[in-house]
Amino acid sequence: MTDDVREDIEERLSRTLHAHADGSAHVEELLSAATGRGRVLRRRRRLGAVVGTVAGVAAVVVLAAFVGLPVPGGHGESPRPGVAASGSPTPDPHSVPTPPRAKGETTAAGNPDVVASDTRLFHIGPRWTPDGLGNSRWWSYKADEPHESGSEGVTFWAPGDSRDTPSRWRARAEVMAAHNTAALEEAFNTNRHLAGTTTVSGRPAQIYRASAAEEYTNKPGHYVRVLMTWYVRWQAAPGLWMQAGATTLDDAKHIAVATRFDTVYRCVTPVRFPTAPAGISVSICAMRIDRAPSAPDRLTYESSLAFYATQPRGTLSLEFTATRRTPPRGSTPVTVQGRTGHQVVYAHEDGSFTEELYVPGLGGFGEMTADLLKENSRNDLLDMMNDVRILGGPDRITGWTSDPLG
Amino acid sequence: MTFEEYVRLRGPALVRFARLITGDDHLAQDLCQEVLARAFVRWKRIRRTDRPDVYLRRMVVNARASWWRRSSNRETPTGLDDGHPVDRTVTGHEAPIAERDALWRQVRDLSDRQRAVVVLRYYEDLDDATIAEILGCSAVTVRTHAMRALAALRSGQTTGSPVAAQSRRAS
Repeated sequence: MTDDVREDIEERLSRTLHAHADGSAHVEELLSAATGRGRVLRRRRRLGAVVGTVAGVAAVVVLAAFVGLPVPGGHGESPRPGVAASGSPTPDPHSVPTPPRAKGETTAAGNPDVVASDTRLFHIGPRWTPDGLGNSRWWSYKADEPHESGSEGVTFWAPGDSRDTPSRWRARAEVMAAHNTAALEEAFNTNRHLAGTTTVSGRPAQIYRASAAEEYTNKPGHYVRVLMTWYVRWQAAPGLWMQAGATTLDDAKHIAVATRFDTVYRCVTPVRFPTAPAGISVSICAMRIDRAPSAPDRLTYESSLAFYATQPRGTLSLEFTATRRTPPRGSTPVTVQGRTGHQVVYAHEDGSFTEELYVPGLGGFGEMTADLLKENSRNDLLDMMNDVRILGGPDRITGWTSDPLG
Repeated sequence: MTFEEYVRLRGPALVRFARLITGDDHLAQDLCQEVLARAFVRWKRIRRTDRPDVYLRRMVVNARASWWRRSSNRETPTGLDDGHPVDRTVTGHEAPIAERDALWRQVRDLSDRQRAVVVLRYYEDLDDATIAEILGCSAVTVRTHAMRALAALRSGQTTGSPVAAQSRRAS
């Protein structure tokens, strides 16, 4: 036995750990990868593509819940809303639920350039999803930075899978469109690899297997859960790249083949700004459509928006939800359009401010949350939200608009 | 402190910590990248905390626990345990290194929780209250994990270490 062995175990333990902790860290590579990946995560969160978000996260979305939008016939047929006795469209529990159709708009089949060119429109139409994935979120993202690329997509998941408990998710599927493959990379986590090739409607396609990390929080701490997903990527037309993903490869292929480009849908929102702030534009529009677990013929719709300002730079988010979330500590009671809510203002070291609002019951929704980040000046979110027009509640979709800044 | 400043200043320490927690250099880099990416998204909140180091280490520990449950990551990390026989007759100036390697293999044999406590206590030099905060348990539980880990390491040390540890893993 050496002298080392005779030493106290704790001293040897400390020395051993320090010896084995040594090694290169490649800080600049780590920083580059982390910020790049972080931007993707942040954008996906803004897009609402990630279903499981943690309460309190600054999502850049407008969400609203209501019942009764037109629903397509599904499974290869053209969208065809039904009409119930009450006058509300009747959803087919077996179809792929979609946003309302936009008639007269140029389709992606007619001109692929229209994809991701107008956040008010969705240009891809998945006609098939795996059984049980009755909930969906449709999004259209118009790039607001020169180095970014716009995209459109739809994510599907199972009714009853809680938005806040990803550990209970059973499966997901998605389809995404962009003008280049770089934009499609957002769907991937760091762990992905080319797993083979196939064809989609006669066109060559690549198969990828990827691990999509999702995060969630429970009482003990913050967790990352990983879902394995198969992706099929193909070029549907010159300048139009597509990617379909699902839990199984067969499902991913089926989604790819069943995706159409001959229909355009509208993204609508329940808010309108009477006076649009200068330099502000919509960079993301999304709609979420949920089937009630206990009543599959009843749909709940959510609409999402993100605004982007160039001068001064900043982002604005709004969220209307059916449920309430706990306001962060340190919030101040405020009144927004006659409703009592909470306000939190964060001053950052770079001179920017983030202002957050949490208002229950506004416009008949469970809660409205808003998040405004602006450089170099104190935000005016409270004034802005007191002026904004709520066009309708959960049961008044007919009043919603595709042009919140108009 | 900006996110970039934090990573440049504390990133290497986080990687070293992850390396000890995982016992695998590549997995440590992947874990840190993923954890830092998520920290990037919420940095404005993290930097308001008193101790972002604690927050990040908590994320690493939890992420590591989750990754380990994935079937694709259940392979035994390569490195020292590469399947080659261990020389029992190391002598002279190489002996301390061999003993450290033996102890390191025993550390890697500990349960996730015990290893995390050992690393946080004897590498990071954190007190039990802070370790408890990172692991999401009580300080009493931390002390229990530490006591059992040390007992296991002492026990392993008296049984001829390298080969014994390798045998336990193989069994």
